[in-house]
Amino acid sequence: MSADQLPYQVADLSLAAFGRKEIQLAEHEMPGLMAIREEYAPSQPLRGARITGSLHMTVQTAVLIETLVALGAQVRWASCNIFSTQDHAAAAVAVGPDGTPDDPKGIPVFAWKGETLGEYWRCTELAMTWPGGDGPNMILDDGGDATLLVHKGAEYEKAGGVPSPAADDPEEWVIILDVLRNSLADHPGKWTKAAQSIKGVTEETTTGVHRLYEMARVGTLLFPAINVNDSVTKSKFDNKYGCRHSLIDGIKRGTDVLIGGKVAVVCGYGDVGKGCSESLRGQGARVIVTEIDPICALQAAMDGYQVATLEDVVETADIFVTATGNRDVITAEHMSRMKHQAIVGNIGHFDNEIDMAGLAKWPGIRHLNIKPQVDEWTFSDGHGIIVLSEGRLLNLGNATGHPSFVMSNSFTNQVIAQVELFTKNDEYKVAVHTLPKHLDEKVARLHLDALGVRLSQLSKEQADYIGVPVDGPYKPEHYRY
Amino acid sequence: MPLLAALMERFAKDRPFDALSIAACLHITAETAMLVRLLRAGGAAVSLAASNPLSTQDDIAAALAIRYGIAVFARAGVDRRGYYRHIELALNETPPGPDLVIDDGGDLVNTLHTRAAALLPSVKGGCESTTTGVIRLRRMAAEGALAFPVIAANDTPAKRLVDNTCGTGQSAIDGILRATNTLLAGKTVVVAGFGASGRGVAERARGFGAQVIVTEIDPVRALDASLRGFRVLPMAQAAPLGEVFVTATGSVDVINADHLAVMRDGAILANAGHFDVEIDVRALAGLAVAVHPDVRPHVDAYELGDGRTLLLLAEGRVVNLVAAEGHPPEVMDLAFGIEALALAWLAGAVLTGNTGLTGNTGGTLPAGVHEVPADIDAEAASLVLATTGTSFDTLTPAQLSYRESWRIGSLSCGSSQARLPGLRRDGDGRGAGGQRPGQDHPSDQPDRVDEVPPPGGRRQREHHREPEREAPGHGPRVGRRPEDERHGEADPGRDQQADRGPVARHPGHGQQVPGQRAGRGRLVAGQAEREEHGVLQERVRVE
Repeated sequence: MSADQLPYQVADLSLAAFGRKEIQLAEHEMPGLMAIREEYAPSQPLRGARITGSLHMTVQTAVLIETLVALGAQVRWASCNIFSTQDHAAAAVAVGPDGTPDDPKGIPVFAWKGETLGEYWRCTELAMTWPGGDGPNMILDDGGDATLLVHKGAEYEKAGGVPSPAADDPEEWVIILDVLRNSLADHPGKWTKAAQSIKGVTEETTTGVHRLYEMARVGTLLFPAINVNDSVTKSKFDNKYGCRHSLIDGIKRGTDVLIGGKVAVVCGYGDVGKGCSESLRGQGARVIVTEIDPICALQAAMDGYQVATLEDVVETADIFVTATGNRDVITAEHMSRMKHQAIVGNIGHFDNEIDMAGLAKWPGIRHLNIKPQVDEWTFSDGHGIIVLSEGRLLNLGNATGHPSFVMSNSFTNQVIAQVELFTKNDEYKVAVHTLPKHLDEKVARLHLDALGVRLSQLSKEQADYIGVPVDGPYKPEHYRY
Repeated sequence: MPLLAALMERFAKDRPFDALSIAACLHITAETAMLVRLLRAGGAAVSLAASNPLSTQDDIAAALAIRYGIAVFARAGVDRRGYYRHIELALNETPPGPDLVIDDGGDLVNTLHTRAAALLPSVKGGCESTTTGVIRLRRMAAEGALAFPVIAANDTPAKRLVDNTCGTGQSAIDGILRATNTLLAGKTVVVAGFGASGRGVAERARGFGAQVIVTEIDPVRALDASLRGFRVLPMAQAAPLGEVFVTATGSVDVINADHLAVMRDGAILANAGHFDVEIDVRALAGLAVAVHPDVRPHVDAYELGDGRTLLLLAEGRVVNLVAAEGHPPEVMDLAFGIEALALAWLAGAVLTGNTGLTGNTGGTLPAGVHEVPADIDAEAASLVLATTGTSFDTLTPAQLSYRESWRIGSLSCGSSQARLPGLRRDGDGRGAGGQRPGQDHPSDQPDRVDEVPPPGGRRQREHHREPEREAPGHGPRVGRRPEDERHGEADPGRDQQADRGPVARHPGHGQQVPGQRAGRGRLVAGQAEREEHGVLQERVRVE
């Protein structure tokens, strides 16, 4: 039996019952997705869609997946991070609401907590390969790994071969090249064909969106993209309030450390950094922010945070969290100067914010695993630091990521974006788009009742006075919330 | 001020101060006027002096004198001699002396024990409303020098919270903002003292977006500040950092010449403590080459020899009353309500030997400092809550008796989940993790620990099921090809693991572990590892 005939690959199917229970609880907390199911299921707008999802395989994602299925789509799924899968959710998705572990009737999902990088990329490829060798015609991406695979695959097929890795290439890149080299050999033309049939990608996160804008800028983007991250109801909610909830959850589950009274450094004061800072301050930590952008730095200062450089505080702080979307923010040299048992973690999408490779190569360094996703690294002078989730997103690695309600915001945007791209493909040229504001406002509306919000109404006169329709959109495109 | 209004009715009916004279030394504000009217409604003849030379609101003083016939001796901006003369005049208003006194800071009681000692025998008791005053009184009492009972009206939990923390917290900052119009967001504000008042100031400054540094001499208060996320530094280190300084310690020379010497140009100095001794104003004057008074109302600019200018607010006196209006009425409503109730109780206790309106004494009170009876505090707080429409719970009789009994521990001791009515059983009764209710305490297990249990408990059941899965032929069920049954898939990525360095040794990344398939995802990774290292064995070793 060949790889593309694998129906699914998860850690333990018997966890499906537990996963199903949590999915049912999550459905109650995700009013946006449930309302979309009700609204769209009759018309099956995603019938004919073959969606590859590369997104953290959590309980919340399970509700997203089953929403896409309810709208008629065929779906194959992988996680977008080696530690973020919740195995019971993956099992429940594989088994499906109507199946059993002995007779699964769910969707093909290839994800488990604690994959190797090789397994991760293999899972991504499996999620992009339908039986018979077809590819997807839609991608739902988080961080852009699925999009990357298609683009690079097509590029190398056109070039006639996959380049050899350079000596200093990151390990993950070497793995990607290997995966593509094998697929070019086994299934020539696969990626080019996939790229042609993919109608578009909807991208979830800041980092993935950044990759898309880069490709659009240099002209290599192969299909239209919707930037779901920059829906207001995504980035101003998920990135901020989601992290506000799940950052300390991850730190606490990982280390059980008292946050009150500690000095915490948050690198980056974007939407994620804002949520992280508030999260730590709310528990009584004294938060110091580092920033390279003067506007964000000024915001942090006016919000009452000390803004310093990492060098100023690296020897005195107790907790370090990176939230920049950039690389080499905390270097091995920084870590060599930290206090004993300083905690270092990342909540940005990729694991290059903290130089884990440099740390592993530091002369005399010793490594001890404390428990899954918690490692102690001890320097030759005897001081150790605690690193969470090997520098990968700690809220998903050490806890369960954002809670359902805020993910309902994000994922409702995703479903709406998938329906838009799939059903109105001609209206979207090959570029990066955002959802129109009236849909953004619709997502917000779907979540108000659950919180007991009583929304006020504009009168016609008031609406005319400010020049907006009574039912919205209420703000100009440039408004920043 | 709904609490005082409610008490007006009660006092007019019960007249707890009938035929008594009360000499009061208080900040003369609209709120104080309400208290004075309340005392008069209760039957007292009231005379009044100001407890601060700058805090009098002259229009209020006039209204009290002219409309309400109160003997008022006060004027804003009076000099030091005038300030003390006013206090003596108020004390002498009803010869041979007042029956009861109300003090704010202790100057009236101090005058009674010194310059006006002739009046002392007629005083039956009094009330003090500030931390500073109470501290002075306790010192007097410790030396045996306090001649009559005084209630420490400052020391009740409700009063401290509402007056010191919320009242001083809000109004001190109000005073600073009205005086300077400075933006607090992003500024470094140093708050000296993290008692009830300091905490209020620090929290509200933080609420404005300031970065707050706290200074403290008391390690417990310092720890409290630190755990609430405030930076705690010695004043010597905070002095060069602060842009706004607020003292709230009740101590002297908290900001001294050394600190002034290193402060930033333009630093603002304000005091929220009772007396003007917390900022060493004489030292500041000594460092100055020029003083520009009232560059804005209540702001004096001290120009120093090195070109720096420091701004002193309210001459170092209590900034909330001088540069703003003191505590808001809601705060004084509670504070004065407690004080009036406490004074009525005291009047009853000392004069008639009976309980008065609240509390129980049975007999006169000895000279010294006394606490406000707890039920007065609770009654005042309840009355205030009632006026805001806030309802809250009361203890049931069962809860009351539980609280008072030491014999009852856990009420659920001895019952098992299985006996709880209404517990829905799922299928064969197995919950999410395969555990039956009540299974924690099966009756056939020995009570004394005498052997090592299998590690992992409920999770281990899942763990043990895996080998069954891995037999050839079961591949499709978990999506594995038969050839995957070997350690290590034919997975191109796996070859890379050797290059990953130490992190690759983590069992989740391909190392063979007993009972676990490599790379299958570690449910119980930690468990397996602990088994390997024998940690679990060590932990359950008994003896």
